[in-house]
Amino acid sequence: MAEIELDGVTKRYPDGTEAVKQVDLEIADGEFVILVGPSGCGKSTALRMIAGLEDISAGEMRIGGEVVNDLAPKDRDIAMVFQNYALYPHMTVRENMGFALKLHGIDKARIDERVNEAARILDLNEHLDRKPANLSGGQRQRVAMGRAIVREPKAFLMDEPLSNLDAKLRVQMRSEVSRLQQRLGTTTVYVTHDQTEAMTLGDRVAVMRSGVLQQVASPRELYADPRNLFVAGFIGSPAMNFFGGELVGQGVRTPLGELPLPDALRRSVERHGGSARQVVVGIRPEDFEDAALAADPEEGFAFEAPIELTESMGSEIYAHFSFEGQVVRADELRELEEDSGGADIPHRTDEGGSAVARLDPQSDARSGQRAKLWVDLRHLHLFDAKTGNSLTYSGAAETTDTAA
Amino acid sequence: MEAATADTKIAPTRAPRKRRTAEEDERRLARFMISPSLILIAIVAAYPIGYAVWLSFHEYSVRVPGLSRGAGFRNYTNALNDSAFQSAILNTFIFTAASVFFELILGVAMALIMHNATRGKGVLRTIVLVPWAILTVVTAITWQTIFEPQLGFVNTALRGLGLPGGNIVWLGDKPYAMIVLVIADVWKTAPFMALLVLAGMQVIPNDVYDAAKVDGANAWQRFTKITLPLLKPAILVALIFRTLDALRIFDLPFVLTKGTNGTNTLSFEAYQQLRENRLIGLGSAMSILTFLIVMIVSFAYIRFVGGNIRGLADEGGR
Repeated sequence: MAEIELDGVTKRYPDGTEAVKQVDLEIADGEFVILVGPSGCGKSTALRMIAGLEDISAGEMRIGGEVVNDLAPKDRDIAMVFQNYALYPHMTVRENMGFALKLHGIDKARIDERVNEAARILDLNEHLDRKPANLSGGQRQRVAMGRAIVREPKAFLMDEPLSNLDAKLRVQMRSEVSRLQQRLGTTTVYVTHDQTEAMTLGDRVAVMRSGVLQQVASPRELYADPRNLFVAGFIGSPAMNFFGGELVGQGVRTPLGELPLPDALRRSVERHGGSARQVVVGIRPEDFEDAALAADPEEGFAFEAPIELTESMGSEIYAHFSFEGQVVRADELRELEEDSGGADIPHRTDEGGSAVARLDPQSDARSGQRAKLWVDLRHLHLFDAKTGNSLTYSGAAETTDTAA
Repeated sequence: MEAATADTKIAPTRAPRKRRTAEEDERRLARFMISPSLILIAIVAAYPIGYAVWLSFHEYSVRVPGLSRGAGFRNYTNALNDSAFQSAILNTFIFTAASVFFELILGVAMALIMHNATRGKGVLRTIVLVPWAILTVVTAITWQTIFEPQLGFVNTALRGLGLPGGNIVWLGDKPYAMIVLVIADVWKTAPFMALLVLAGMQVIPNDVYDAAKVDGANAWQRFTKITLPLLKPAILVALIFRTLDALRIFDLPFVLTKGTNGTNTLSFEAYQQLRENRLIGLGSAMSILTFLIVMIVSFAYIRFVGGNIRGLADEGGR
């Protein structure tokens, strides 16, 4: 087991494109860190650089204090789980799991012992003599995990290990992975594009965009205190709603109305260089409420909006309402939308857009009617419309560079 | 693949009765559709083979057309007792074993080079394939020229470098003629082997190699423990093709040696009896025996490695 340090690590291809730019990241011994971002953000490349499968163009990589830039994968003592599992098709489950140990010249009795132990943990005992072709997707995934854990390596690297499983199995395996990591206490770097996986699994989550690390923080912190527009839009499901806004006097003018800013937020906006007047206002769906059911009405702002659609989930209602006015057109958000396939859905025009509010199930908001909604002003997020940086970021311990 | 097997499992449970008649109609239509090709095959393949079998059991006069008499198995016993035919069997097997062996090694090496080339892949592949595209007769004449004893490249080079062997009459001496035959064949068909092996290499997923690297395998171990086992199906297919081809070798000895100096092969011997000696019954019997030998070898391949191929193909299919 060991800590992993990335110090200005960069991946530059011969044609000049940079897949990973100046990434600084310290992963403590035994920590479970998630690298998350939309496809093409460089997260897999970063992971492959830790594994030694990609050369490091610049910067320094250390595993357990040792510089590994020029070490071959086999000399780094790390194990990796691949998206397609990459099992050896000509070997049985037992041979697959024991392959690395065999290469390291460990005697057969010891290999058997460790393979059997791993098989017991992963519930693979009955399948040890079968070949990968005869296993289900979930079983193959477990063999891939088994192949990693028998090694007892310094670190586990996992490249979207659950993305090939169906939704139900994925949720099941997610908790399995989490339990396994806690039990073994091995440093783990886990790559995913799924923000739910990122939020539920890791001790810390590192969000990447176009090769640049955006924010590294605990899931809760990322959610409550995103550093920029990209992180805000990426983390959370349903996603945060964004409205164009302008700072005026004591508040911010938005399509919902002129929202007065609480003192704490105003101070924060000033601290982050209040020169910007054009802002993006971000509101999470749960920070809306039916005005009649708001817990403390005086902390918020009530407005009326036409409800386009309501989705009752039993414990809550998602109300989609439309608004008129300026729609946010930031690159960050467009990128997120393209990644989720949402760019194909023509739900936004220049003249207005729609937003989602999570309401109490007792709300009587109905599709096609106007409803009086309430927004909690304490939880507003304000972003500089030009740079995308948060103006309400309270700036916890992490001080990683962001170039967004 | 999984979806397909699931389908076939489900199929019989729904409306089996109606299905069956529909299936019968399908089959009748299928028979009708393939009948033209079946007729064609019957004309160009089945009839000549059948005729050859018939000839092999007869003594046939070349002087009086149509005159023939039954010979029973006499042609066959004559053939098998003929020392020329016996040595042809031996020569054919020596040639097959040697040429296929070297073709395999060279083919795998060439495939590895083509697969791992970082630039100029297309050009490399074209160049490698050129020998295979050249007519065998042209290949044979080329090698004949190269091994010409006085002015040929090989002897001139050996003499020039002061190496032994500069005075060998390559195509006129016993072990050497076969060596030239093997060299010419390997030069011509190793690219074909390489192409088949390369196709097998390209379906091995890259992440399997990545996994092996992370697991601690060095380049040699990746080759022996990952590449070779996963190439087995491709190699076996290539081996079958090449072995069956080599067993029927005719054109190289025909051009290079006319079957002399230990290069007489089965096909060539049969041709000799049929065309040169006009012993149509004996020649046909030799052809049929060649056919049987090739068939036995193919059955052996399919029997001992064929099942293996299917098993490996399933695994490769993931």
